[in-house]
Amino acid sequence: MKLAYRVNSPTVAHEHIDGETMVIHFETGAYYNLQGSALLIWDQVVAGTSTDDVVAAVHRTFQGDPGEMRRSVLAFLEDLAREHLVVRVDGPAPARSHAATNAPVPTTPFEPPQLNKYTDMQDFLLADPVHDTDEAGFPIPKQQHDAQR
Amino acid sequence: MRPASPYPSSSTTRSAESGQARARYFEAVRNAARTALERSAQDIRHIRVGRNIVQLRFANSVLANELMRALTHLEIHSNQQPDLTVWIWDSQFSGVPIPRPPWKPEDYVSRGDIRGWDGDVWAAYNLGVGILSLFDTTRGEAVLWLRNPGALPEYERAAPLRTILGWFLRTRGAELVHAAAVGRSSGGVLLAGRSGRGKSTTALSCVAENQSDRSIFYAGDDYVMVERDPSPWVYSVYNSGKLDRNHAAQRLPSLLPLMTNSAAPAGEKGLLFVHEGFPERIVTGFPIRAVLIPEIEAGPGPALRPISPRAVLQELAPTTMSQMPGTGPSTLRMLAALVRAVPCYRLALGNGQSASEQIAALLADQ
Repeated sequence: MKLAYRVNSPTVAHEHIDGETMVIHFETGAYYNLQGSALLIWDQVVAGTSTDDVVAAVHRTFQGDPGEMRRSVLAFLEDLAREHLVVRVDGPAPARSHAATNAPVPTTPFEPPQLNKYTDMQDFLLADPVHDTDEAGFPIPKQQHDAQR
Repeated sequence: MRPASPYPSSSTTRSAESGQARARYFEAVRNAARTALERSAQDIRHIRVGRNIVQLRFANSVLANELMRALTHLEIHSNQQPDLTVWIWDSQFSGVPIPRPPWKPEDYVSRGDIRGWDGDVWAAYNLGVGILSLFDTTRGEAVLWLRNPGALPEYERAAPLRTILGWFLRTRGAELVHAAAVGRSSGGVLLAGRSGRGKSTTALSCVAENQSDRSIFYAGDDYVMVERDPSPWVYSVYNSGKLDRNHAAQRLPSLLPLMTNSAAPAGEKGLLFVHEGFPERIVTGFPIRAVLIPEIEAGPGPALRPISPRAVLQELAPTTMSQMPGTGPSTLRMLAALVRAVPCYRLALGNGQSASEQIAALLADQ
């Protein structure tokens, strides 16, 4: 079994623009910007790459300590999962992708991936989950509910 | 064209039986609406939204007069088959109960969506004030049910039927976007940015400013219809505007007499309907020549500075998608395509030049 992550569709949308990727979570209202190594990792998740192969892609692209890069990648994937942007999947081992033996040596220094999060839109969303409904089967409006407290 | 679902995986796994259940619920609510209209003096209006004819069937004239204020500039007389028919009613005045919904409490999403109701039949419920929206894409019909029509908040009066129009326009390849728009029939600009950036002030200043250049007209200050294909275009949907009263008193005093909610709590913006005071200052649509992010900035310096499409998308997409049920990946894709297709600028406000003069100069250079 191979560990992998996939985008938490349909509640997450993403768009690549001007060298960065914007990710939006519709239910929480949070949105994120990804660049550099974070962008590479995200693109690998979108492509359905296994976790080991995501690490391999980072090794091929950036220059740095392999162990540190692996730890950073795994931690970042967990961050993405914690934000409900990706979900873990366990699946059959995909065909191994072999890097070309004459692949260029990476020269870009590795910078740990950052998840830049913005929460200013969350004020628009009502955070309270719905528990009670009236006799018609609909939730009591928040304004009415608050007034009754 | 069916609206692109923000929940594609749920659409593909839903059974035909669930689809029939959704269609049955829509029909039950639509029939209840029809009964409510038959019991009272129904009021039928037509509006043109973009190139689409929308028929609005109100259960009574009180509802019609209340909700049409923001839409009245689009009203037309029509004998044509409408592209969308909307039934608008409530149970309080009609005495007709709303059929019990088949979904569960845990299916409500904060934004208003209802999980699983995003394929042939869309459903959303405004948890704040109790408004149910339903849209059957196969019939071209929608229903709006209001729990308490006598207590509509200002944002519903300012932008009525927003959810239903958003769904419908998506089937037509357009989006209802959180932005302002000003210009003239030959071209204009979209004003994007989260609340407090100065979109409304900039847009409404084009209505009321006392200046020689009156060539810039008003298409909206909060929600406008946007198309990317075949070319970027904006259409007016609401002629409403919201402005801080103190700010209006200092900068735009001619708009004060139009404000409708003088009894509203302190801190709530004044709501006005441009059509009621300045109908000649409204433009119904134009090609988008640029997207501007207004920013309050004192001191000298260039009024317009180019900015990246990414910066504009960050101002446009989250604020639209956090407020509009049904927006999803296709919305984000469309907005990204839009900001890539036209020039983007930051518009400095407060450096001595009027916004409309700066916008007019920009359009003259295009």
